[in-house]
Order: sequence, then C-alpha cells, then structure tokens
Amino acid sequence: MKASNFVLSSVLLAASSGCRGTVDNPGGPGVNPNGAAGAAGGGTGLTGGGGSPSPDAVCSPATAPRVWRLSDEQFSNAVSDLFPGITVPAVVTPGRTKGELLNVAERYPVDGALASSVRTSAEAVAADAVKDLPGLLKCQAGQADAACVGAFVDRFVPRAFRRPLDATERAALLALYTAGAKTASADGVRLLIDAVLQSPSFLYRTELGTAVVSGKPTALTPYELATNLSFLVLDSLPDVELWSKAQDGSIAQPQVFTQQAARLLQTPRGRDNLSAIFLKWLGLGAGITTELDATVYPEYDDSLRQSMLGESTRFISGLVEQNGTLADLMTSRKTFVDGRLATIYGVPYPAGSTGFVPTTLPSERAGILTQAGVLVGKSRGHEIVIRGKFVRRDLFCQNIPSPPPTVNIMQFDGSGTERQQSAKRVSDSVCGACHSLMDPLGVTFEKFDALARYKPTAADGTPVDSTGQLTGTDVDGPVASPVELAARLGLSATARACVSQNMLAYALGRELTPADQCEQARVATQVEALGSHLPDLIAAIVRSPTFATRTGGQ
Amino acid sequence: MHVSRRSFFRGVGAGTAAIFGGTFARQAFGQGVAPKRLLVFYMPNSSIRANWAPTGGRVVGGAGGDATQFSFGTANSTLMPAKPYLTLVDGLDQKNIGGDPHGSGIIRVMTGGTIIAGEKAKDPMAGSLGMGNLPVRPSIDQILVDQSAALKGPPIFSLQLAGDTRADNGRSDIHMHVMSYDLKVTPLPPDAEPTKTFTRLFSNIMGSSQAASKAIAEETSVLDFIKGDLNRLYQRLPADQRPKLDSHLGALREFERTLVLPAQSNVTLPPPPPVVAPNVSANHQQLLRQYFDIIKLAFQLDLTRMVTFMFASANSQVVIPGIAGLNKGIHPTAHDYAVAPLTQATAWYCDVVAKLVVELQAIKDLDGSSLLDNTLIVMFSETGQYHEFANIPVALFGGSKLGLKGGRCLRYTGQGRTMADVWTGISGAFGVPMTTFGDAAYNMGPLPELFG
Repeated sequence: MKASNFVLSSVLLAASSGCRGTVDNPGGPGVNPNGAAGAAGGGTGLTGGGGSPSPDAVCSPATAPRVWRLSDEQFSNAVSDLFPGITVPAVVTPGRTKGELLNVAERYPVDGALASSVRTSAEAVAADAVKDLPGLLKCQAGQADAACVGAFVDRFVPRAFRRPLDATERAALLALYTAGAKTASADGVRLLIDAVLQSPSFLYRTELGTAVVSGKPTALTPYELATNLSFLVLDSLPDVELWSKAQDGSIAQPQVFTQQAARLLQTPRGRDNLSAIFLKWLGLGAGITTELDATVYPEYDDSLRQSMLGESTRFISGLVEQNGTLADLMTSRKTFVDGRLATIYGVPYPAGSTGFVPTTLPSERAGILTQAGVLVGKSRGHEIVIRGKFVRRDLFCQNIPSPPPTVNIMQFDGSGTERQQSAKRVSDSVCGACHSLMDPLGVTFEKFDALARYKPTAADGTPVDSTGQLTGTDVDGPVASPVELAARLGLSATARACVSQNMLAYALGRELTPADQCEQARVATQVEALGSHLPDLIAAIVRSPTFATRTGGQ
Repeated sequence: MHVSRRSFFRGVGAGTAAIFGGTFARQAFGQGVAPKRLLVFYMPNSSIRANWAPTGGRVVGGAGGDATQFSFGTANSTLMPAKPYLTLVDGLDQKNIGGDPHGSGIIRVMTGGTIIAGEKAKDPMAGSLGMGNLPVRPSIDQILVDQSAALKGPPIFSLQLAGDTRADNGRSDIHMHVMSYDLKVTPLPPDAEPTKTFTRLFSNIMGSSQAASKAIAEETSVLDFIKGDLNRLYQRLPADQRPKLDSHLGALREFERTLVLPAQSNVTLPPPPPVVAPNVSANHQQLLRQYFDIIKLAFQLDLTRMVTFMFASANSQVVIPGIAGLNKGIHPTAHDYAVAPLTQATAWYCDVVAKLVVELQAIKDLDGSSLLDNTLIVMFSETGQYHEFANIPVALFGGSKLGLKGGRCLRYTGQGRTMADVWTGISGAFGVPMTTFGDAAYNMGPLPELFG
C-alpha cells in the first residue's frame, strides 16, 4: 500500500458527484479533491504524484489563532485538579452530544443556558473549597489575611488561567476578595474562586501565539504550548512538572517538549485519557445509550450495559498499557468478561470468579468489531445501515453524503427481511450509489443480534447469510463476517490512517479540511514508521510543528 | 452564616413563600396589561396523512363551508379537549425539498424556503465527515424577537428547549437538533435538561430580604470581574474569534438582567423538578411534563415571551413507552411505513399539547383573561407522513387576544400555501407586518381568515 493511496482516500470529501459511480473507483467514494465542496481546494500537492511524505515533513500550520473553550469534561477535570477532592457539578453545553469525540472549537458559543450551568458549578465548588479555609490558604503564622490571600491568588490563579497574571487582574481579584471579606474572609475567597472559575481566561484556551504577523505562522507561547499538550494528553491542566516547564519557558525547546510529551503519555492519567479517546471514537464516550425493545431483550438492563462498557474499557486500556497496535485493536482475541458477558459470548467463566476475568474469544469474534459494547451501540434502527456506515465512515474515514434530493424512499415499504430490504436499497439506481458502500459491510454482522449474541441460524433453522463485500478500499474483497472484516482492517493502511486522522481532528478540535492534507499524511506516515502502536498516534501528532504553531491569521 | 442566592432559593422550598417575579412589577407602566407570547412546538417525523386529515371545516378561497363544523382524524383526535381554542390549518405543503428530508424540513419551516441543501451543504465546521443542510436565514422566532415590540421586555429574549436531542447526525453536525437560528444564522441549540433550565430561569428570583440584597451584591461583583476578564481577552483576539465572546457577553448580560428583577408577584415558585436523565425514552413524558411546567411559570413571571420547543430532533430516536411497534424510535419507524405506531405517536404528542393548552386556559393572566388568551401556540411537523412533504400537520392554539379564533378547521389545500404564510400572519399579529417570510418565491402572504 503506497502512502499516496491512503492519503488520497483519507482526505475524501463529499464531492458534487455524491456516491455515484464511485464503487469501482479505487480511490474510494466521492473522490474529488477539487470538487465544489473542497472549500480550501485540494491542491496541496500530496494527492498526485506519489511517494511517501517524510515523517518529518514540515507542514504549514492550518489552524488559525483562536480561543478554544474547554469541553464539559475538561471543565470538570481542570476544576478537580485545582481543588482535589471537591465534587464538581457537571457542566452541560446545550447541543453538544455527550461524549462526542471532538470538542469543536468553532461551535457552541456560551449561551444563557451554558453560562448558568457554569455559574452553578463554580458557585458550588467555591462554597465547598472555602469550608477548610486554613487548608486552602496555607497562611503562614502571623501572616496578615491580605498577604496570605495575595499569595493564594499568585499560586492559584495563574495555574487556572494557564498564564501569568497581570497587575490589573491581580488588583481586581484582590478587590473582589476585599468586597466579599467585609462579612468574612471565607466569603471573600469564595467570591474570588467563583469569579476565576467563570472567567473566560479559565474557560477558554488561547492559541494566539507570541506575535502575530499577518500571513506568517506564529509559534504558541510556552504557556499555550504546555496547555495544548496537557489538554491533549491529560484532558486537563498541565501537571506540576509540565507547569514548571511552561513557567521557565523551557517547554519551547523541542527536546524538553518531546520528553514531557513522552512522560505524560506514560502516566496513568495519560493512558486513561487515550483509552477514553478511543471509546469516544467508537461512540461509547457517554456509555452505551442504545435503547432496545425490552420485550425482545429483557436482559438488557443497566448492569449489562455497565458490563459491556467495562469490557471495552478494559480491552482498550490493556492494549494502551501494553503498547498494542492498531491491528491488535481490530483482531485481538484476548479480552475480559464478567459473568453476564461470558454468557453472551459463550465463553467459560470460572466458578467462584467475581468481576472481570481475562478470556480468549471463540473464532467468531475478534477485536472491537464484535465487542458487545460496540455492536449494541450500533444496533439502533436499521442495523445493516448503521453498522455499515460505522465501518465506512468511522473506520475507513470515507464519507457518506446525505440522501440526494432525487431519492424516492417510498418504494421501500419495510416488507421482507432486513437482508431483503438491504438488497433492494443496494440495487436501486439512486439509493444504491451510497448504500452499496454501507450495506455490504453491514450485512457481515448479520449473525449477531442486537444484544451482540452469535446467532448463525435464523429462527426457522436456516443459516443466516452474512456474505458481504469490501469495495473502494486498499483491502477489497469478499467478507462474510466481522472477523474477516477485522482481519482486513488490521491490514489496511487506509484504516490505520483513518485512526490517526480521527486523532488529529481530536487534537485540533475541528474536522479536517483539504488544508490539512500535508499534516494528515505526515502523521499517518509517522504512525506507520513508529509501528502503529496506540500511543504512537498521540506521539506522532505532538511531534509536529503544526501542533506548536498557528497561521498568521487575518 | 452566608446565604448564597442559590441556597436561599433552595431554602424557599415548595410553596413556602409566595414569590416575587419580575413579571409585572416592571409593568407599573401598564397595570392590567398582559404580555403577548409565542410558543412553537416542533413535532418531528409525523404523522400519517389519512389519519391526521380532519373532515369538514372551511375551504378558504374555494368551496367555503363552516370552519367550526369539522371532525378530527385518529392521529389528532386527542386534541379534542383543546378544540375550543384551536385552529387546524390543513393543506399546507413544504416546497423545494432536497437533501436530507428532516434536516432540510425543519430548517425550511423555521427559516422560510431556501437552504443550502444536500451535497453542497457541507457545514464548514463539520468538515469532510459532517453533512446535512444549512440555513441561510434566521428563524422566524428570532426575527420576531428582534422586531416585535410586543415581545420585548423580559430578561430572557427567547428560550430554546427540547424534549430529546438524540439524532443519527453526521459527526459534528448539529442541525438535526436545532430549530432556532439567530440573526447571524448562528444555530441556537436547545437546552434539554429541565432542572438546569429551572436553575437558569428561576434561581435569581427571590424576595427582597437582606440576604437577597447581599447575594445580589455578590453576584454583581463576581460578574464585574468576569466581564472585565472577557473584555481584556476580547482585545487580544483576532476579529474572527470575537463573536464567540460577543455571545458569551450576551449570556452574562442575560444573567445581569435577571438580577435586577423587582420582587413582586403572586406566583408561588415550586421546588426544582427532580433530576431526570435527558435523552432517555423512558423519561420522555416526564421531561416534557417538567418543561411544560417551566414554560408556564416562565410565562407567568414574564421571564420570556418566546419559546421554541422540539419534542425531539429532526431524526427522532424517541420510543414512546406503551406504543407497540415503535421500538426502533420514531424516525426509523417512519422508514418502515408502520401506520399504527406513527399514528399513535402523533396522537400522543397531540394529547400532551392539548393538556397544556387546557392548563394555560385555567391560569389567570395579568389582564384578568387567561394565560392562553395572550399566548399563541403553534404546533407543526415538517412531514405530512413518512418523508413526504405535502399536507403537513399544523395546528394553532390560544392567542385570542392576538386575533386567533378557536374551534376551527381552515383548509388551503392545493393553493401552494406553506408555513411561511402562517408565519407572516403570526408576525402581523405580533405587530410586525410582513408580506413574505424567507424566500419570497415560496410564500404568498398571510393566510386569509387565519387571524382577525
């Protein structure tokens, strides 16, 4: 597989041709980098020609200077880091899907509902934090209140704001303290904390750089760089060591930066966060939310959902910890089951065991594709379409456009088996263009029911037909099961590039555009060069100059 | 001991204090005048045409007939209790449908005609994986809030709410669960957690006690610092980033406006509703119920005069408990052409709306009439049935003080009429004469006989 191919297919944009006539296009569906939809144009030079981009290619930054608001989870994490042990009421951004992979920087401005949500949380945390005022302020013996609070401000606020305080801000905060402290010192400190946690300087990460010269890339400040690194790897504020490297500016030195990135990735929090990112990618960021018909699946209750999520979490965490590869993610048969999952998977569960135990899966299962959490998560509505779309869109990064204006869905009356309905969709001249990309992948899961149980025969005793076809990828061919599909995914450079593409979008807080082609290709090549281990995905991204620079802006 | 505003509020408890309310303290200038309000319900992915179609009524501009002589269909028979206050508007179509049927449908209804549809609609924020439909104009609610003097005054200019926001969106695509777009066509996503909305609306309402005064002083001091911080950051931002902070500042100002509400009202504030997990079908009824109570209270206290409410996203995943055959969720069921469950789902939503209408009728407004008389309610679906766009269900309720008569069925079938013609009529009722709304090619002016 040449790098040029996976670059091509991983930068697919839905072009004006939609899915039509793309089935036999080796580049994949909708390939048209110069199509009308490509706002920034496709000609960044990596789609033609060939040859692998160097892992150390210097790509121009494609992200403009910006502010990027903390996600709801990052707010909680950051406040918890500032006030360990204090419960942080969750903040909810209206419109954002809980557990969504991306925290899109240009979406979700603060509205009345969100401001209220932040205020409620900040007030509760502030009230809690001052309950042990001496413990919080750590005043020295004989130190005056004002001096002690000043020291607290100098310790707490720069860390919260992820930058030094200026004199105006410091004075304003101390004035706020003084106003509140008229009744009690704790009231003053409470107001101060309340205000800091609601301040834009806390709520938004800045990526403004050192000096913006129009048209010229600007390097992030050491504080911004450290902040970006910590939010990518820890989903929170810089830890103590990283913070010290920001304060003395040494984080801007490539060697120090690389060392800090490597260190953070190895921390338990760094590993947990990487696992969490994978769960989000698989649609499990908010747990398993699929609703199933209780009359058909009476055993599908909250504890079973927890079991399923528990397995996925343990499986991915295990791979992260053992430096597993993307192929392992797809094909590994070693996972963990508790009693209820053992029943679903048909594997032994040792008598006397409690909780999760390691197990080796039977031959019909492998990797994430047959995991209960993933399968149930993709068991909504018409499963063949949902599961096929998941593979095509999330695992191969090939877009499926919305139904075209000419679509006539009235011809599909819902009669027949799911497989028969699917055949009708695929053979239709309009619908087939897209459904032929989804359904032939979705049908390979047909031997698994909505609860992820293996059911190779139908109720009438006939064998279930799960034969499908992989097209438009670098690993095309017939596939008849998720295991066969997983084997191909494990070999697919396109699929590996897709994971790194998702990770890059996550790291940048936006979907990728044609302007990101250089960086996308560089990261993918870097990941390959490093061996495609899960932590390599982050390592490849943070190595990039584009991670540390922004465009010249306007 | 310090009493924060919030703890003060919590301490009030159920029915222990008659409270305040901004309402009509501010209305010293117009004692006995009630505000006019608009509540818009979007009922996604409904219904079944044959079962919605009323019989009888008046064919406007055609065969005529008595508007008051009509019978409901099985899908809307549950509206019966609200019949005295209702006008069924029959025979409206959606035009120029393309792209995703639901995503385009809701945007077309709310913003009037033109959208960027289908494959060209790639949301610049959604990148290569997000597809859908983009509006090019603000939604009617935001235009009215901007232009209608009758809707100005309350601290919260408009509220966007939803009973469920789940959708099978493209990643990063939010347009399936948005029905309001501001004047810059920025999506205004709905709040879907009633307890949080309750806190937002009502936690600043309290008596004029000393504790309350202190709490207000504290909130003001904190707010001053936050605004100062916002301004300092604003100065450092490139122009394209400033709208983020403009919006943020708007949110802070909204809060600020609620802080100066005078303390006076005869409304007793209930305790906050219990926390119920959002986006869970089993909770759908309770979530709607909690929101309806919040809306009633917000109207009574005149905290807002404009509410847009999505029962669910334009790709409804809701399973209404007790309706057989709906187990895939409403939108997937529409793909299955399952007549009975879709009819029952529509009837279910009609039932909850009818109950709210009757409740609003029973609440006395400031002018001595009922809250319903001063509140116009619109309910619509973007589809006539399945994914078809002819004969979309539309019903208007209440609003007698705005010129809407109840107990009627008006028919406009085959005249090329759309929801835009309803909106222009409503706009006139709110004192903003409008001949066309949205794309002029897709509307013909206010529906005759609807108002007045």
